[in-house]
Amino acid sequence: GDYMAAKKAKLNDQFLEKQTIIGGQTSDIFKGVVIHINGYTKPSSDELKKMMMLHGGHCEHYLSKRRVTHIVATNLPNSKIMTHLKHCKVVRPDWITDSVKAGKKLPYVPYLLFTKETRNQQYLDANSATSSIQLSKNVHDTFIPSTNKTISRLDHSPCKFQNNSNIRGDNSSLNATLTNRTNKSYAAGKAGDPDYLSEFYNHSRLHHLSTWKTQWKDYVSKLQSQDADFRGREKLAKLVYDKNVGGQISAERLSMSQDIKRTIMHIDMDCFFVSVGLRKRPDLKGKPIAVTHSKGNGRAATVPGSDVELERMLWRGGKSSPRKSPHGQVGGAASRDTTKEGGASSNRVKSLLTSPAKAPETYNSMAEIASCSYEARQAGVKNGMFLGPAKKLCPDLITIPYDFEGYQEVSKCLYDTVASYTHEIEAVSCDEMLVDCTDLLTSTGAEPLEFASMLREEIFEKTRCTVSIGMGSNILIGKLANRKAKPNGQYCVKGEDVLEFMKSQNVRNLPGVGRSTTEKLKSLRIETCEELQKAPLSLLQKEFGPKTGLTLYKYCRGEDDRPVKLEQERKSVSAEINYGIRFKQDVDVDNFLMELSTEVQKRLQDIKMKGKTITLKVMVRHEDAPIETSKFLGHGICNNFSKSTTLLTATDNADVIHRECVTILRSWKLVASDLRGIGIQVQRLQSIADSGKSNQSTLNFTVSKPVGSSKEQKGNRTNGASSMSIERGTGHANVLDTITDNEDLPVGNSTREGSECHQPPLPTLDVIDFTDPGFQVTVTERDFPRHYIADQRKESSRQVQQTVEINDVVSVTNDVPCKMQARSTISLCGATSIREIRALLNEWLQQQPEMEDNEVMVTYLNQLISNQNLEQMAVVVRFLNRKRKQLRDTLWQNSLDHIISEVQTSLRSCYGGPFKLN
Amino acid sequence: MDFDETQSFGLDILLEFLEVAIHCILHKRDLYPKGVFRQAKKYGVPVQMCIHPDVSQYIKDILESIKRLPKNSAEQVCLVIMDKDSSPVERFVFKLATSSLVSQGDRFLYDLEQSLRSFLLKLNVCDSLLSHVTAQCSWTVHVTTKQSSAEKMNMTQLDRGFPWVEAEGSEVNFDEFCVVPIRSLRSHFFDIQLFVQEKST
Repeated sequence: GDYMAAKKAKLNDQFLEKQTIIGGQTSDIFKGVVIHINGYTKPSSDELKKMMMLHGGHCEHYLSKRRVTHIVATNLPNSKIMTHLKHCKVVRPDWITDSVKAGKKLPYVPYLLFTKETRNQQYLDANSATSSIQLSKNVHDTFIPSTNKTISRLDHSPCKFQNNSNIRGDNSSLNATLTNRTNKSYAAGKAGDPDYLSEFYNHSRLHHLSTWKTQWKDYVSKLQSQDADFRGREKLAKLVYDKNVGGQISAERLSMSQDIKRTIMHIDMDCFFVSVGLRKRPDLKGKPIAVTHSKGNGRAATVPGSDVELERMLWRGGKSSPRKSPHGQVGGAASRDTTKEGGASSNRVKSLLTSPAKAPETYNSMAEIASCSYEARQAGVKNGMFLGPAKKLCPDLITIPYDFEGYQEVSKCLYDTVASYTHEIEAVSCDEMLVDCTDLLTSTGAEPLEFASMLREEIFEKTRCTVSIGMGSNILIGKLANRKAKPNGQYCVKGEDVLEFMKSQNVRNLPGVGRSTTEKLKSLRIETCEELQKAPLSLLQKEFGPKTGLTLYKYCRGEDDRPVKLEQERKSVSAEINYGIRFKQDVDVDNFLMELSTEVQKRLQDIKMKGKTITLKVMVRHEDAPIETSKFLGHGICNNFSKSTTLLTATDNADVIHRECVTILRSWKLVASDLRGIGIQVQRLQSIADSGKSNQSTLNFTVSKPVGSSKEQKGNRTNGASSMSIERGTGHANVLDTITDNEDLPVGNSTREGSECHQPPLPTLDVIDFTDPGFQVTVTERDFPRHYIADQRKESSRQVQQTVEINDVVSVTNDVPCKMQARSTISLCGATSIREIRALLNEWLQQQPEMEDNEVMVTYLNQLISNQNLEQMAVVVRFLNRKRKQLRDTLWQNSLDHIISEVQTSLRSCYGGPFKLN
Repeated sequence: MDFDETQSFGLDILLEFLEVAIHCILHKRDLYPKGVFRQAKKYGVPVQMCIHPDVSQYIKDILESIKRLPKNSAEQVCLVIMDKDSSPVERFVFKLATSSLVSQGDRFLYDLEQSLRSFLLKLNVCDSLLSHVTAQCSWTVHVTTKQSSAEKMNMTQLDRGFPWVEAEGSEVNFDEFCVVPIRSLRSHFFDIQLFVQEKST
């Protein structure tokens, strides 16, 4: 009581002091306003504070509902407002910045963070930023209570809000503004909403965790690449020297420490999230704390249409059959911590989790606990638990929000500190690392424990967070020693004590020993490492296979050959979302996959890698699961599917990834609305530099061609009008001129004619009749090569013909890219196949011969010849030849003769000889 | 994917196919005794491959040197069959071109394999379309290129033991020939057209 009062007074003094330092207040916009900043804001709380200082406001560090007038936050979980902030005005920081900009205190109503009721309802997109200001000016005071009421009822429609409101008439525009605002600020959108993906990744805790891991790995490798600046090491050497006055002893120590073969240090912060969170709330120290999204007391509003009981039941069912989602509801959120702490499984917890909730309406919050303090752990609370059951176990549990900035800051400090001693660091996660300090200890002559206490002290000084250090001759021992060291301690296992040390360990603590292995060992009556040590190698290898058996045999004796991975290699890159996935139709899925692919592409490009194997993972609502999950927009009970495809060449192209994923997804034939989670993973990575040279040209082709063309198509679409590009081979290439049309239409037709011995030049711009209505293509000058290689054998007639053909082709342009069928383009009055043509000709031969028909026939055959389709030409000519002999009509004989000789002539010119008729 | 890579990729398959096709023609046109051929399988089609080391090496050399030609410079590869007086009787003309298909597709070469298979099957029955007896004939291979690439080739080929020489006038004289189309193939990788120019009887 007294302490806090004194502290608040001091903080108040500090605030005023600072205010004078930065030059006093410049205006009194915010006179009478006292804000409290809750969680992460943008601009940061410091900046906001400064603004308040400058403009006559006040900033309270602790939330006192009596004094604080406004709470500033950008993102708050539902339960938080329900319980703590029910009667507060929670505004977004924009209110302050905008007010400062405007030079007056703007009404805060449009900036209210929570007006949840508006989210379910679509409003007209009213543009009334100004009108709303006027409005709310008028209604300022009467309006507030009603808003607050609606806030407290999350799922209620705005009719309530209208009823309570005293405003009449202009409600809609006001509502609209609120909707606009809240949509922007509120994170829990649904997949498919614009910016959902980026919003998701900005807010998802999991995402933060996963990126951290890689981020710190990258950070370490960055440090490693830099020049060594071991200030810490010098300090340590000095310390050692000071301790042992005179070089004699230290030399002795030196030789002693050289006996130690390897020293691996496992450094781990003590309940990282909690201790970082407590830096801001030192008053909570020593109390059971849990870090979670939810600020509630475990009483979450039930999502309408959901069935907690059923989900719980299904989850249990799913647990027994491994094919179904093994995670079930727990998600992977704090899986790192859970596995670490998994050893001490409390039966109380189990019974709580598995027994049908006795009072489901009281403690059913589905918010997961990311980390909890040791005090909370004593009560049986574990990381990864839902808040509801945890509250039941430990009613005093205090929840604190995430503090991502703090985590970042502390992590960086931790890594920097360790890096000042040595660069032989393997980053395990944001708060955990392995350090090979063999070299460090031998060079400085320090004892491991000396170094550990020095390091811990330094880290505590810098971060105010405690850290535990375990040391041993290998990673396994280091990690196990750290278990013993926790919390806030250090433990070193010396070489000779290893066997003894291992004896006390539970087998579950060994890496790679999970539930099934434990069960199996239990059936062999092995529960501790001591018992495991007694088991012969042959038995273990028989039971677990040669490899696992050997590792178990070694591990239980404290032997571990895993090296400290100084250079971390990425194995896969993925993006996965299983929150807020509610699609209406297949198109949404496709679009979302594209977004996700783009995200993967971005991540691949960030690390300059390409991947060969693409895996699509989806979570599909379990057949028996209710449509709505009890966790708001969560994934509920799901069946998981995943399928991989391997490309011929590595890719980092979003289009390729997207296409593969769509193909996989289609193969499952799922209903879009049943999807609850989608993830794309790219494996078998290779760096861009490698992928360039190692691949055969053959393989590159098949993959990348589609890439190019899809890009092409895209470009085409954005252009609006279809553009035609005409490419020509370079001078030495003769035959290989292609006209590429984005629509994949048979433009090639015209070139093919030229791709024989003759090489017709491209039409010059003046030959093309742009006024021709058939010519719809926008031919930009850029699309034409600037220089045409003059052809010695050009024929003017061909030129003309070609223009005509281009017109023909282009006039069929449509927006749908169609697969080109080269030969189908040549037709005789619409008939293309032999059968059709035969029928047509038979019909034709019943009538009187006409000159025009002959010409059509000759043109058709000539086209076939120029299209190199001699086979079809041969069939038709043979057919005609047969008919010529059968028919008695001389007129027909003459015209058929004419046709055949015409064809023979053109054949002779193209192929050096006539067609062999017999 | 740029144009060049497409070329070299298609080229490998194309040359492989040409090798089989040449062996096939040698067999079908009775240019060597049947005993020097052994049945093999290519694209799922039984084909006859000449096992005489000199012959198969010769064919390999030909194809190897075609591969070395400047890109896209080979317009035609002709197998010319000549009678005792070295005057050509039949010319199997493989007209080569890059793919005329602009669209993407056939990533796994299924279509191409099917096309090559049917091509070979057609080639296996070509003797029924041809009228000459070529049992006592010799053969040679012509490649039609551009003047420039021929010169380029002459510059570079001297160091290799397999030079190309300009074809003799009599070998390229086809005044009284007629055309027997055999097969044309269009794929996403290259186009081939095979026809036989046959001496008119």
